[in-house]
Amino acid sequence: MIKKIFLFILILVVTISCSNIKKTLSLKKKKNVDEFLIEKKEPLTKPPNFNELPEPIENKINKTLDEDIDFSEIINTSEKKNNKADQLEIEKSILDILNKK
Amino acid sequence: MINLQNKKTIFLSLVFFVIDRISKILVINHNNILEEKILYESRFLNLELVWNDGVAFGLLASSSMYFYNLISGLIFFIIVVLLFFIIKSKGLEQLFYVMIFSGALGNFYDRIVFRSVPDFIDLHVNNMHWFIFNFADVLITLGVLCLIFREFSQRHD
Repeated sequence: MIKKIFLFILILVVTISCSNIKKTLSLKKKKNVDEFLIEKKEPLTKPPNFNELPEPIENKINKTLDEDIDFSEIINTSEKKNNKADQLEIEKSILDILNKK
Repeated sequence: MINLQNKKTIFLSLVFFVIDRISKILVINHNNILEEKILYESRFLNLELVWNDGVAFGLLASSSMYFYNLISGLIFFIIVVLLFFIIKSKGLEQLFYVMIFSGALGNFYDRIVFRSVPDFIDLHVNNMHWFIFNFADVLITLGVLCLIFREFSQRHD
């Protein structure tokens, strides 16, 4: 009987294929990674068009400003200045009249 | 000639084998299509694909092909022995041998085709996990336990 039971257990152990959960959960190191490998970085080099400097952006902006000036704004500001000057003259004349009295 | 009893035995072996194959194919296809190892998660049961190239409990897993073939040869020998037992036995005993035979054949098929056996049934309570197994393992374990129980019961009689 013991022989038979031993045979059954042997059959069980050899034929079943259950896996250990630890095998899947553990952080196992990969075999193909060489931990002592030092990767050399290539030396820094200038790009082929390094000396061809681009035109500064400010110059471009100024050019566009010269081309498109909005005169309406300038006229408006000058009108506002004239209005202020008129108001000052009226105030002065009123003050002069009051002082005379 | 194949009599009715033998026909039943062959049919039962095929049914067990086909159920095992379908369950494994479903899990492998799910993993290949969705690239997700976990099919299903619950409080006590996870379905998660794990490949085992060893024997029980992930033992004897080796990168050596010679060792792998040696183990596969041993399993094939056991399958042949089981076939011999099936022919010799009758009744319930035969059913138990058929269960072990079908399970062993299912796992052997995977060892030949995929070079490892897919396991996917993960029973657990919180973080306490049992070994991950498949339908073939269930058949083999049940068959062996029933045979051992039968041996004990026959001795008492």
